[in-house]
Amino acid sequence: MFAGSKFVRSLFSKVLFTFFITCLLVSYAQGAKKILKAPNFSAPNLNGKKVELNTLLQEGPVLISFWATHCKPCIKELNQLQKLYPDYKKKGFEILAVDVDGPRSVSRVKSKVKGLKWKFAVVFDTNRDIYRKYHVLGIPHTVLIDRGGNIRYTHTTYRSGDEKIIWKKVDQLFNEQKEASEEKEGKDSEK
Amino acid sequence: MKNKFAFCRFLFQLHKRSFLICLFLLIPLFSSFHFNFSFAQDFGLGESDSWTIRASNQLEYSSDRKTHQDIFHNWTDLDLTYGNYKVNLRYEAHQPDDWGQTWQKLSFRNLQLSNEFFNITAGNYYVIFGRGLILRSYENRDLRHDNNLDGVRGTIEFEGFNLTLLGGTAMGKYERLDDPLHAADGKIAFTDWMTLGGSYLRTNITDFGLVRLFGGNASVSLPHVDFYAEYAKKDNPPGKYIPDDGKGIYLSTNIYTAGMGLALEFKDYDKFDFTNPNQNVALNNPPPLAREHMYTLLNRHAYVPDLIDERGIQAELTSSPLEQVSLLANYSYTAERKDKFCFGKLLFSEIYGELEYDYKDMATLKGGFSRQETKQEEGDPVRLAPVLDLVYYLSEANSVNFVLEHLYTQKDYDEKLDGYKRTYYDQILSLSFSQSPTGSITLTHERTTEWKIRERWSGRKDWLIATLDLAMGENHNLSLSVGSRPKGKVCAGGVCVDKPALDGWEIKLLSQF
Repeated sequence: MFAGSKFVRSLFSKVLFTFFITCLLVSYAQGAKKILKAPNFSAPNLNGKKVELNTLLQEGPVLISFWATHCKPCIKELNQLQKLYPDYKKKGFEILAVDVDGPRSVSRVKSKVKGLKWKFAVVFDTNRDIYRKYHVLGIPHTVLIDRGGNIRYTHTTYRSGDEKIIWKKVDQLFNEQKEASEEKEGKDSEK
Repeated sequence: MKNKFAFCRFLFQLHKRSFLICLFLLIPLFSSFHFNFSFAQDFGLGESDSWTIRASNQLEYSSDRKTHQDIFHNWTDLDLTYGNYKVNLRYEAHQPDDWGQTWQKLSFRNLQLSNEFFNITAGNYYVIFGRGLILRSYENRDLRHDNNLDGVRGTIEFEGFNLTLLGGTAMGKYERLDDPLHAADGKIAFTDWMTLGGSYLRTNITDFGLVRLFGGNASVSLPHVDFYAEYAKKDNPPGKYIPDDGKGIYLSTNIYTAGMGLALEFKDYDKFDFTNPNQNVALNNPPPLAREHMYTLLNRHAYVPDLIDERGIQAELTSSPLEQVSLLANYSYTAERKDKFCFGKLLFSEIYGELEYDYKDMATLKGGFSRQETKQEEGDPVRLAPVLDLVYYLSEANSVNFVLEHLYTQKDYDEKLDGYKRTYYDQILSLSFSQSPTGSITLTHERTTEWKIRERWSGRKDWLIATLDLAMGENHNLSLSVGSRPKGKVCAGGVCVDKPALDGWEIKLLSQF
């Protein structure tokens, strides 16, 4: 169990090797085009009504943000996202804040959301079923999904300025959408 | 080619189990990483008939130079989805775990068949009924808590009606319990604003007898106000580890307008502990009504509920009176039960206030103050804790964060037992620089003067740790810590565990595939 033993060497090899593999994956990921589909889910919102991801996606891209009331960076991130949310909402963009508070804090979520004047949709994931579905390992965790239901960007933790990257990615999605519709219009007029 | 074989030999030379862990990591790599090929294209099936593989890995490794102990934890989760079918797998390795045991195994596996109206799960699963008064099976890796159930669960859901039927055995601290439990939970939404539900559970505990829990819940949501109420009763064999039947009541309400929200909660737990004594596994987890804090020192002394005999209230106010200002005030009080409606001897109370001010997008200043009183610990400590949290934005991507946490403790108890109150403090100072989206570096200093009230103090008085957090692409987060930190409680949801001290280095790697 202690330093110098075979056990420690075995442990060290595990860590090194896992790290090595992860680095490989990272480098691979940089060049890989994401085509991972976002798993659909439905969850109750603050008023108890079910909100389904696929229904929201019919309107436009959706940003899922996993958060909890005791998570300082989560609240910072959502406060920042709230600032520009009304402008993007007009274009069909939606933020879905998935609250992963356990039974301990879940009763205080609604008053917190209203107190912070968040306008976007908040749903409950009290026993972390959606959290596991998306393989979330820590909060805050954000997932940007395009209208086609593809995951286009994921990010764990929040640092001041991360919201700018999110808005850039959202702009990129709207540009792609615009280009695709222009291309379609062009083809239709050619016909 | 030769190199490839050399690589394979290297793989097999490694410990068999490490190979398995790595294999889990390699699967997504060799399956085109972000894997989603469609049979629709290949076999002309429907659009939904496509395979999807998702995986994640959480690795934690620490090496303590003082105790020469190395601790390794790894969780690999993998799920495969094909149309309405889904397989979930988790492989865990702990060398050693928090109780000193070394093990690795496929700890979670299930097969799910689901559509928008039903879900059938065979294998391991998690579940919660209502607010957890009757049953809560969940995982919390920070607490090393996992009481998943192994059996079959079926859920039907349509038009505001929801029914869950399940049977299975719960995971204990070391191994699965032998005592199966069977349960049902239903919910009906009569209108847009009212829902009624009920739950029933029975289990025959070895060397104890039949335990039954049943109860109901109701929620009402009106403009600017909502209510939730849950009542549960427990039938117990008499004369065993809990002498009589028990009951639990939980009530909550939210009152809100734009920019202001008030949450009020009430609990009343009377002999309501539902723990399988064979492995000390709690099968229910009702709300403890004590605040879960964002700061380390405050959270280290969280209240652990006593479901045998307690009654309590909690109120929390959140408000944003101005665009740049937000306020939070919380009060929680838990005492022993006395008569039908009164509070007896105090068990825990806390008052907490917090003010946050955003200065022209240049800086954010947060100040908080807590006063805690607990009778759960020796010396009936009273704790006063001011917190200061300042973020200064250097540019759009760069910021500096300074946090001061001070915890002043007053105790009746000391080793001299001379009847005088003793005081000491713990303090955390942390300074971090972060650059979006690359990462952050944090320097944390902690100090205690607890040695002043102890006759013998062989431990440290100061700890210093540096942590580097790096985002490696979108899907990987690496955290490397070097230095020392004290042992201390980590608490979540009314459950606490003692984490060992560290004097060495620690690495955490979170990966999603």
